[in-house]
Amino acid sequence: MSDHPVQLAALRRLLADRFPATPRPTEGVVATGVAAVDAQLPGGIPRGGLTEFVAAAPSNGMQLVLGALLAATRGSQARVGLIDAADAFDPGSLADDAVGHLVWIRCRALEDAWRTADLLVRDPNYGMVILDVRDVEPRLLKRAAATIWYRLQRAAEESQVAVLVQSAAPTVPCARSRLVFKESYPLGALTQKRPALLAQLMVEVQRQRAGRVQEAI
Amino acid sequence: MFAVVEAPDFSLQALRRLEADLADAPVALLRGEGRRAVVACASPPAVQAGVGTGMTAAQALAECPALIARQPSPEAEAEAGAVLLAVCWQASPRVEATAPGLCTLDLAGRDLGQFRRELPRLRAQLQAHGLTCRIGVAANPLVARFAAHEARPERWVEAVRAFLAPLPMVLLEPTPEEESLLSTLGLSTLGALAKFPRDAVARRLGPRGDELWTRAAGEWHRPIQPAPHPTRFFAAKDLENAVETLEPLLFVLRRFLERLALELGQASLGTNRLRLCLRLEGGKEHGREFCLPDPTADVAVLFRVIENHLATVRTDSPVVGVELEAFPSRRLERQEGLFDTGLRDPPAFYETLAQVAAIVGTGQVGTPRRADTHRPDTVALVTPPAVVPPGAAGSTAGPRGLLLRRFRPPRPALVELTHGAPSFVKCPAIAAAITGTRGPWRSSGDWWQPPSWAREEWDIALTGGGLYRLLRTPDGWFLEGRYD
Repeated sequence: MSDHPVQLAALRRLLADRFPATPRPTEGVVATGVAAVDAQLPGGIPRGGLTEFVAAAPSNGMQLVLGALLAATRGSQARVGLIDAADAFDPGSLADDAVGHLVWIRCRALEDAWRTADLLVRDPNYGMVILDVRDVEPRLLKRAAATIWYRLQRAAEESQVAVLVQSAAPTVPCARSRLVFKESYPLGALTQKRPALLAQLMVEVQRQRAGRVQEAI
Repeated sequence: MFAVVEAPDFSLQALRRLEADLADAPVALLRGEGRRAVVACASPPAVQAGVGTGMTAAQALAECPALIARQPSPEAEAEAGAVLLAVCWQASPRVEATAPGLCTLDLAGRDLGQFRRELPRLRAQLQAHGLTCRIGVAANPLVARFAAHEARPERWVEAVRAFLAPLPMVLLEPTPEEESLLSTLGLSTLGALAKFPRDAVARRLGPRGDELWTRAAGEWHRPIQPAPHPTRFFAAKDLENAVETLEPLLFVLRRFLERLALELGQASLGTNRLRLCLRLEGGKEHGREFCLPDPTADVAVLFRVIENHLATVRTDSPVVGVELEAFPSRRLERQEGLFDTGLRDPPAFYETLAQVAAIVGTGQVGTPRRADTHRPDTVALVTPPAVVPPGAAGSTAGPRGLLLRRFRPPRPALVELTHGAPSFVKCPAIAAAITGTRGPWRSSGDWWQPPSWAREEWDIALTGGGLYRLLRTPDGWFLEGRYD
């Protein structure tokens, strides 16, 4: 029995030598509760890495997915941090109880968002950190150094926090997965029930790096 | 058996441990006023530069121009004395504060072999608190005190007579008359006095002579008076020089916290409330209370709370004094529930929140809670709870339709109307024909108290896609947000 860990470690070393590009295993995923999204990801948003949602069209349902994600994490009582770089989140669009586990950070500048994200991702108390940079001016985002994202990625690997970045254009160079929301909803969507809207959601995978997932919450 | 822990040059050590600038500087402690002031003790760099005990201030400065001359600080000595006691309490529950910088420990009931092995750790702990100490152990408090005096840095006395024999008579602190008489008798060491017949000494010096002989023979016993444990956890100091930067202030506060945490820990207590008061030049004060989620006696946690706050504080004038009080509280001891989703690291969580608040501003971070009003976009951010409460069944489903992403503040827009309904909208970054509308929905409130509000909402779809909320108020048209 005592040889098993040794053999396992040797096997892992062998695999790492033969397949150096193989990603590190993750400890699990945070399921969004949206079938169209979870099907494109390994069951949900992986812990210990960055996942990017890109809004390629207006009114594409990404905020709807955020609402579903908050509902799913509310059920599991996982703490979620939302870093709102453009101060666009509207809690009034959700039921009061749906945000009981949310820590909402209303930033005044993009620089504040970077610094806050760096702190939250390192905090082991968060199950998920969402960085929303959708309505930030593109020139400001382009000016940000790529090292910021790699720094966040390293921190997420360390703390095993699931990090979701919401952007208006592909921004995160080290994103493990990137989903693009391309289709706009019609005006009639404003009267439909949300589960029906989520069932109509159109999502396209732009990047998917393989990762081994052990469990889902 | 008794142990005596002695901090030599205690007044000087007490000063140096609270002021970072004095750590490696040549410092001399003066006793006396004005020109009569003489050097009572000097730091090693000052001694190396030629400064000696008994020199006048002028002589000392002539030897060492960089010398920092200081007067004793009763506050610093009280603080160092409290640290000394707190550390000694870790070795014995009965500790006497015998004199400034000197504690006597009653070792009754202790495993002496284990205590002997602990001595280096005890000294190292005192050193970490800024006190260099020497320790003597003997059968009675007086011999233990002599042993501490002779220790380099530890002395364990088993053969009492042999140890006392070569020690000078001055250790018994005789009066000048007694010293003169003993000298006449040719008695200059404790061993010589102990060999002299006890009755003969008593005949010449009376009861005092008998006491001196008993001391010299190592047979003098006295009960120790254990110091009471602190009931208030408070530290304060007037700063010698007004402080304008953070580092010297943090240095003092860290020392305070180390002592307070030690005392709290010994009482099996923690603190979940700290009170900090900075006394400013001109008589003003800056005060702040810190509340922690769980009682703790962890110096690192307590220090980070204060450091994070002070990093954001700007005072009008320099700081001339500092006070810190920790309010004791029983530490929580509870078993985690199987489905408990409390914080993994509560201090880290609230510390992160404090750091984030320092970046984005207080009131910009927290859990959203809708205010009791119909006024749109009125939400308060409250401190997140330590344990996420279970969600109410079905409460997260929410209303119909897409969620709104708000433009804060709403973007002023130019709107073209056709048959009373918007048909074209133009605002920064958006200029498009409107292909569909829903509304208007009118609402108003607070008309009985200013500021009242009235609004007309339209949901619009633009050519090329995009659903927006258009808002009409007495001030004009605005785009309030985008549905998403």
